[in-house]
Amino acid sequence: MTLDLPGVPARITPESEPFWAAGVDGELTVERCPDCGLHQFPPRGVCRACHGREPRFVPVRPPGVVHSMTVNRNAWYPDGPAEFPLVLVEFPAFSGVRFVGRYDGAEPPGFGAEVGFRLVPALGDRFQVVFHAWDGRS
Amino acid sequence: MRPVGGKPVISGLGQSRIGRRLDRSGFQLTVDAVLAAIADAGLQPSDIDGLTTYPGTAVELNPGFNGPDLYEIQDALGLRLSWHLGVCQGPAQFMSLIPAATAVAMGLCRHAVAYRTTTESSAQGTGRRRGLGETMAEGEGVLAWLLSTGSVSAANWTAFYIARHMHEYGTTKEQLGWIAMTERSHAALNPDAVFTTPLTMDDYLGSRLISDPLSLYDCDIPMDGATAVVISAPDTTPDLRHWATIESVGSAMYGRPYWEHWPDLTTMATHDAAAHLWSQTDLKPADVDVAQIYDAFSPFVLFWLEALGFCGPGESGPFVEGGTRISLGGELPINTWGGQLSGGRLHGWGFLAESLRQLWGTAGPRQVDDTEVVVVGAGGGASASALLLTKGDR
Repeated sequence: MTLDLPGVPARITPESEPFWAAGVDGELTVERCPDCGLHQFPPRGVCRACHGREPRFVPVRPPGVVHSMTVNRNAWYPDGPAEFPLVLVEFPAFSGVRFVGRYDGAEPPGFGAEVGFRLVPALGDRFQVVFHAWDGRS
Repeated sequence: MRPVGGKPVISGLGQSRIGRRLDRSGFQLTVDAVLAAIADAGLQPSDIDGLTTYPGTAVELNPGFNGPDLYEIQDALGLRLSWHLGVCQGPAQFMSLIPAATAVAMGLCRHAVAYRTTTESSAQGTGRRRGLGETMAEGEGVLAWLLSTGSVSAANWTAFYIARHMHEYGTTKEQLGWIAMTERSHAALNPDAVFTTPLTMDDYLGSRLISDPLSLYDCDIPMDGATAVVISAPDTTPDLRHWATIESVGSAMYGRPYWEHWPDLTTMATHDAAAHLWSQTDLKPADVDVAQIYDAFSPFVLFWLEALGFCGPGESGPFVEGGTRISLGGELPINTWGGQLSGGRLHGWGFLAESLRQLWGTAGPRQVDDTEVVVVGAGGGASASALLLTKGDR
């Protein structure tokens, strides 16, 4: 089963280019401000808390925590899949940054469940985050 | 620039025909609404010196979303404008109206027309509801990240919020059903509404799921239709047939403008707009006679009720349960025209139109007696705006 979903590729900007490039290499990254330690997403090139101008991209490590979920049951795009779970996941160890993605499973896990993730090619040269039950490794 | 004293007023309301797949262009619907609004104010087109719309010519998220170009409407009606603005970034659906009020207060114009037109019904045809961005090659701005995940409907995003509200507060699917059923009962009194047959809880619970826990009757319905209002300087009221005072505006954006990064998913941007609204006025929630609050999806009503202070955090489910409190004749009638769930998706401006009708005593069988204060909330998710309107004195 292919796990990528039809969608709209985000325009790649000077600020987001490192995020997309790292993702193609298999790393999900966010910015971390070396001055105050805040992790943030989307990438800005400036810390939204202390306005430090040298945030660095760092990889996000699992597990994430399911903050909310739904099962989509409508095909929004032509030939798109109608039924798939979606999860909104927080990464508490990374200032609570959040990502949305498909959940690889029939039903989404409950609130607070730990999840791992992998990146799948999607939308041409982009990628999407796909979450799965946390197995202690990925 | 000659600022005028007092608060701006809304002096005229016009709406085109409203319906599904109308055989009339968005441009003509707009002209119908604009001319009707000017006449309703007791003015002539030559009196109009301001014009604004949201969004007009801009990147179109969805076919039929945008409405006609501001310049073309100016040209079509031969208007001589001292102020004009088409705008696509701002406080939700009233992002055009709010600067119009500012413009008349600052003396940049005397009578500004603001219009909002959608032809989403005609443009999207008879098939399924379209996903956002389907016709876009690339996404940009705050929605780009979500659209790139393959979550391409606000139904998914709203589902994240209401699932969290249910989890934290015990809000139920049936409580959402009372919103849909109550609005349907109001729509039965509105000849322009799209859905008027009674909706039972069995109908509601039996409808197909769209994005759990949201089902068909939790979602609004694309429409064709135009709404226009005239915003006038307060010192022009002797010339007007009627008016409503813009007592207060909520235009705040304190939180992050992202659905997925909003910290507390049991609230929405509604909370910023509502807090700002009340900070600008001495009136209180208890002074409100009628609430017209956005319902792209039924949960928005819950978020607006809590944001505006009609009940406490997490209490909106019990507040709407049974429908009595929010129905005509109840302590806080809401969405008396049927809302977007049953009246049709006029993208916020159906709420504004009904607010004016209630204040002017022209709501027919839906009229709430002695209406003097109406609150209007538009938007939700990551962007919202609110207006507090009061009856004009003659």
